[in-house]
Amino acid sequence: MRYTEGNNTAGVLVAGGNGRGNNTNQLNSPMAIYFDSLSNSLIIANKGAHNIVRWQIGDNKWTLIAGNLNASIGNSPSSFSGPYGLTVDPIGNLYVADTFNRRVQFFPAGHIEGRTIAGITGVFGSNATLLYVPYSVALDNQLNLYVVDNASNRVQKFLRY
Amino acid sequence: MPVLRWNITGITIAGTTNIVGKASNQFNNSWGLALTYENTLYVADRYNHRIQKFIRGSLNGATVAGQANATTCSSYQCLRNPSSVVLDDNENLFISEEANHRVVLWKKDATIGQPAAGTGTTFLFLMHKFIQHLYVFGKGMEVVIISFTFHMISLVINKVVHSMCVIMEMIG
Repeated sequence: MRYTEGNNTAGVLVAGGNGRGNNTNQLNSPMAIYFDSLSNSLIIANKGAHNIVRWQIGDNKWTLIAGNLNASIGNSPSSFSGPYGLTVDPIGNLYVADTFNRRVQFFPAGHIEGRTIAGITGVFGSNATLLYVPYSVALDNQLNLYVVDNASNRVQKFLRY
Repeated sequence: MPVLRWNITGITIAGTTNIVGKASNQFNNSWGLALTYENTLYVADRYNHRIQKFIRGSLNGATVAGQANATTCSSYQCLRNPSSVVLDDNENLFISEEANHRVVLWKKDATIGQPAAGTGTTFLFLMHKFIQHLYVFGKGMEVVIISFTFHMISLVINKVVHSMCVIMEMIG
């Protein structure tokens, strides 16, 4: 990155900007990002394409991290249905609010197969083991998991043990 | 590195299950969240037009940005559909407001916000009509805006911290 002066209060395009689509130079309803300082890239919840992608700063396209390259929806361990939120822990593991699969998926760093750590795939509800519409995820410094469950109007905490 | 495991039974730490409301233990369409090192939780309570702060262990939130009674307006005392909240190192809040088309900085313990990005009418030259999410780099100097309606992510300079109009140029 480099700074230059100018009379600008506007923005600089970082990712997408080529219309809605599933090609690697496009985004499709991006919903959340995480900045990975080690690789100087954005990790993007590309909700409409049902995948999680990496966009290197300065590049003109993304590369796939998780989900399907062809933007297909699914409920397998390596697929998503409208992921709205994500975060990354200090080790590089990825956590995704897989919103319409009603679950939170955990991807060890470098893995494309996820493991469900909160909610039950395809089952929506609002008891203690279910999620309704999980929108956002966050971690505390003990890696306990926090989930904003939008439709049940609550925040759920899942303790690491 | 041991296998990471989580209890599959969740504990409700904010909000009241399946109840929509504006009491201190209720939300109306919560979306974004942020945590401090002490596990203080901030939640963007979108249709209540406010940011709620929960000290660890308390189910009652305090309104720290916007109005506790869920009123909205376009002035900087109010928020309008805040969707995400991001903290800087000093627990100042950066808040994206979908319906006010701007990002505001709400300093810790302040009773009014200040503009950080966006004009309040049409947002930026990229015409973000719908600020959906944001991410703040470093000490809040650069704000990244995600626009899901325009399918793009852009980076703007926080006007408060860096008032001398700098363009950030990406050179890879």
